[in-house]
Amino acid sequence: MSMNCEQTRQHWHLFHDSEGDAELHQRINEHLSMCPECARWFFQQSQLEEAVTETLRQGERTADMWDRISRRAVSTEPTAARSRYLLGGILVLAASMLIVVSLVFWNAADGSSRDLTTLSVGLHEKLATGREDVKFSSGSHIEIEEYLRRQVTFPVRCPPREDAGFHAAGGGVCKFDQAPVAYVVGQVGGQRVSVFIMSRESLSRFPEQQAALQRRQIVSQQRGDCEVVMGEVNENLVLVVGRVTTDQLDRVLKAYGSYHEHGPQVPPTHRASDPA
Amino acid sequence: MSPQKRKADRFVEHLEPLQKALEVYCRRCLSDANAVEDVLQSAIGNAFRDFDLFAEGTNFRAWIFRYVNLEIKATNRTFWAKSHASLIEEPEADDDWRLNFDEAHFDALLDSPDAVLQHCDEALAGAISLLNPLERSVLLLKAIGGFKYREIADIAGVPMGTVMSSLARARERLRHQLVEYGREHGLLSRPQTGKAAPHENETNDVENGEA
Repeated sequence: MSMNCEQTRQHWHLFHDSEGDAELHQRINEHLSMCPECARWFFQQSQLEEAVTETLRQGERTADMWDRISRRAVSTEPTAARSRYLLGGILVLAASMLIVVSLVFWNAADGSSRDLTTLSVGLHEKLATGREDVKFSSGSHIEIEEYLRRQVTFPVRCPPREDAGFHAAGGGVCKFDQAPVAYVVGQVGGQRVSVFIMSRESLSRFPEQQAALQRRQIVSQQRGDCEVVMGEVNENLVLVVGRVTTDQLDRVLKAYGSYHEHGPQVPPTHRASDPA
Repeated sequence: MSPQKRKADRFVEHLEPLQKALEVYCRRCLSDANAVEDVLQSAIGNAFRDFDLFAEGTNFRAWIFRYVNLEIKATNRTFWAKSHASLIEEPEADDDWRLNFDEAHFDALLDSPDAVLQHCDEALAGAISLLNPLERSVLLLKAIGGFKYREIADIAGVPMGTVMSSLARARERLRHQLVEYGREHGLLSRPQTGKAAPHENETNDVENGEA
């Protein structure tokens, strides 16, 4: 049974927060597709809520304080063994120097190791050709979302909806330059496409992409035959990779984490980077 | 490597990406701004002590927020007991504002939220402090932690229905405060056209497929 405007608006919180069951979202979407006033009302409510959320999230991590907290709360050092401190210190110094030297050589040998686009294309190619197994196979968006949420500590939203042309097939987790990554694999127009999801904080590890995203909300890059489209969506950095057009990838990116199928054209969740 | 060192390394690996969110949540939630480090110190210490109980592969984010939330709750109670010796609990926020809700200015806020939000971090912090403790926690767990309702219910130790009603009330109150702030500081202009109100006739149109 269809809902009227009053009933639809009562469920805005559930819709905005991607809560409630799929049937409710379906009924809301049906109403929004036929009622421009409610579609505009939903868009405005979500826009305001996103702006409030963004303001509430602002703040910095106080490095000194966290160092003190970690030292006191997570300390594993023995209390009265100065000689061990000394020996440990020397070993740490030697290890650090070894690591620094190794990193210098490693970076010189592989300049692309901190290039997020190259890393994502590399893994996409492995997943698409079966050289890397997809950890969790399922066509259910809910199952994939729940699986990913158990695997990573940062928030992960639902995979892009099928009405954006993306048909999900599974997901998994990995790391790019030590940063945890959740991924969803699927198809767009018969071509394999991967969606890589990271926490926004991870972007600081990849200076090239960070600089690009400070200039534009959505960035397109190419490596070989693969196109990559990336952007920040709420608390996530999202990359969509595949051998399809950037328009198709762009559509998938904009549908990430959104149940809003027939509403206003600009989803309120995609925002420009904070200034460095 | 000793088991204790391994435990510490694993704990820090989980904790590091969440430090900013935990600190922002703590700052926004605490009544006593000077207690942030003590609260985090105590919560992180307790969580590390219990880290053996944490099942790898489950939701560390919700797990650690539960410790921080408990510590905030205890600290806020102590703070209120000290500063309001006659009160046992923090007073409930009143609902008088509902009577004077300025819908015209609220429409203006909906049209251009940034006009107000760019100027009012202090006002927003003040509005947050006016929420009752549960509404404040639920709102901030949603906004800063990005948690689902069921996770918020686990963290705050309340039923999911309470989470939903608290979140709705908190959002309403906050919006009211923003409208008040925007109006008082001349940041909002009254819209010239009428607002889009829900109308009952839509039901029939929708059901008949005529819309």
